[in-house]
Amino acid sequence: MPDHAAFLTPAAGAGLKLKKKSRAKEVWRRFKKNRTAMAGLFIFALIMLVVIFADMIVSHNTAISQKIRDRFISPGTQGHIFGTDNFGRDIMARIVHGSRNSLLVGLGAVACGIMIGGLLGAAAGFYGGITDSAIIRTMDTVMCIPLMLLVLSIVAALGASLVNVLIAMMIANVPHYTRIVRAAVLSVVGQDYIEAAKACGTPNSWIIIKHVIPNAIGPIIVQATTAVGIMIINAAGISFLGMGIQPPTPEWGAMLNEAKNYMINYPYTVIFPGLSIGLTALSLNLMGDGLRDALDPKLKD
Amino acid sequence: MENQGFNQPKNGQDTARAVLELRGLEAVYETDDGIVRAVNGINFSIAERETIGLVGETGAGKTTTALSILRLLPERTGRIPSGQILYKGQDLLKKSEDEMRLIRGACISMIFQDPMTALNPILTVGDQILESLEVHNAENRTHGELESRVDELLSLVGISPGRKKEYPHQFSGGMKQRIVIAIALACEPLLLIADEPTTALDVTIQAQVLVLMDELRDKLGTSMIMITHDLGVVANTCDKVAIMYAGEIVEYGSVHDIFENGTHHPYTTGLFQAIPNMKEDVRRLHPIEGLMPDPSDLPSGCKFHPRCPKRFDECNDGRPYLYERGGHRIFCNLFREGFDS
Repeated sequence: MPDHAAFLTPAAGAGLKLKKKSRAKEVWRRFKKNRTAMAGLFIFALIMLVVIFADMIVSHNTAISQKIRDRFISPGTQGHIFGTDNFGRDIMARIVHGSRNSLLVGLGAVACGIMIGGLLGAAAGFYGGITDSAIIRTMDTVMCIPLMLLVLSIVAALGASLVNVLIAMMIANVPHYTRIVRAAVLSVVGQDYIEAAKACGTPNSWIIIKHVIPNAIGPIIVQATTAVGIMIINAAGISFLGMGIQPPTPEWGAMLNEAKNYMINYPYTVIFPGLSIGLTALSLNLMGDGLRDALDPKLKD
Repeated sequence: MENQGFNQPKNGQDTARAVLELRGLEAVYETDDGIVRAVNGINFSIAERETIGLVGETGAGKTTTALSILRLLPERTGRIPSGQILYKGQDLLKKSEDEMRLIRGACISMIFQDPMTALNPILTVGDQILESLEVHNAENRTHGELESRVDELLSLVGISPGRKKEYPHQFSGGMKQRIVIAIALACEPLLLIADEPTTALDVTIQAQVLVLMDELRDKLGTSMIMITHDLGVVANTCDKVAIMYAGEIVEYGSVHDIFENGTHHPYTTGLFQAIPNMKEDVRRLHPIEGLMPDPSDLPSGCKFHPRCPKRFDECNDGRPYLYERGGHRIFCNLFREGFDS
């Protein structure tokens, strides 16, 4: 250690070293140190670039135009990097354009689900009593209905389209997130520092924003990032049943479903869409774990 | 309200310049298993710059009393059916929740038992001290002024202000308790309620924290309620002592009355026999037999009679006799005039 003075008087040293830093900067600094999390962020950033610039990479027409002549061209030949599928459509083009639909469904369903479920769960956990019972019993009732059945009936009622699938999956997910958030909030609300904050005269709104949410957010982030991959697969299941994304619209999960009959002879038809879903889920998981660690000052080194 | 008039303060001078006065305070928890009578009509008052010790076993109602004063009893179960809590003559039980919020922290603040859990693990200690200042920032002081006040408070409790950007886990238990004290003192409250502030600390740190609290009390002129089950802490810090048993004050007096005087409630005597004495050579300590009664099913008469070594028939029902000499009050039939022990 070159700085002996700072070593001998840690308090004074800390005073010199620690400049004013906002909490967001502090979290970002810790996040940057985590290599796996940064790898996750890098992969996710690439995927987002593909989503944004899909039309510049390859035209939408390539993704949907069928040429039966060109069925099952192997990857890397005749200008088809990932090969073609059973209708002769370029798989790469379909993955690039499918990213928009898949991510919309995956991220959208999870984000909306968490927002609504989070609000309900936080209210249930913080206020307790009748509010808690009413919310949780309602959610339990919804949870009793099998997920697929619930989503299918909602889509059937609203009409088959991507947005309706998103709405249906969001509704089906709310009970799950309500329970997670409620549990996380309950574990925080019972803590002494919440009571200490009340004894200081801190208003409830401050307590929720400054003490409850930041302490409860860790498990929620991890759950949310894991859920995105599952949502994409679920959307594929619904598309498979003919209620979701209508062919020929490209979507990763739907591509998997279409290709499953040809999986033995032409494995690349499932490998590439599968890899895309896997990479997205992986990058989000890595980011989520890193974010959770970065938000917890106890793990700071 | 069966107990009113029973524990009532007689000392008029006591109440004249009282910062806080409790009159027949009762607190109950309404649970599914019945009503738990945690505090049963207690009276005491605290003058400016005075420290009163609330002593008793676990479950005697000490913490419930403290939470009642701040009106922080659990919303779903806790209730105060009767009594008055007068802060500078105003009844806190009649205040609205918003008014109460302004009193908490600014006029009356509380130090919690366990500093390990009383601090939010993900906020820097500086931010946590700042929070109390921001909540009660009636003079609209600027952020810079508040920050310098945080530095001032940290130095006051003996922590380098340079460490305010650190998180609670980077401090030791004793230092965390100092920070908790700094938070409690942030707005210069007139009354500080310390709920077993040294219980979670080891003995050497206990001494440091007690000395610090003593110094700060002298410096800032704060009144204090010291809740503890440690008679040593009481002897060191308090002016007056209230011995609590099953939600009642069984003996009340100055430190001198409790520690030096020969006349005591049998429960107080029992407490002293349960700790080692420097002056006498005792081979074994004598714990008080039995347990604190179930507060949802309290005994009739004197609450202590089932465990009392000196009980007699009269104790089974009716109120115990009030013995009073100066400020020293004991609620026990042993001292009934004409009674020949």
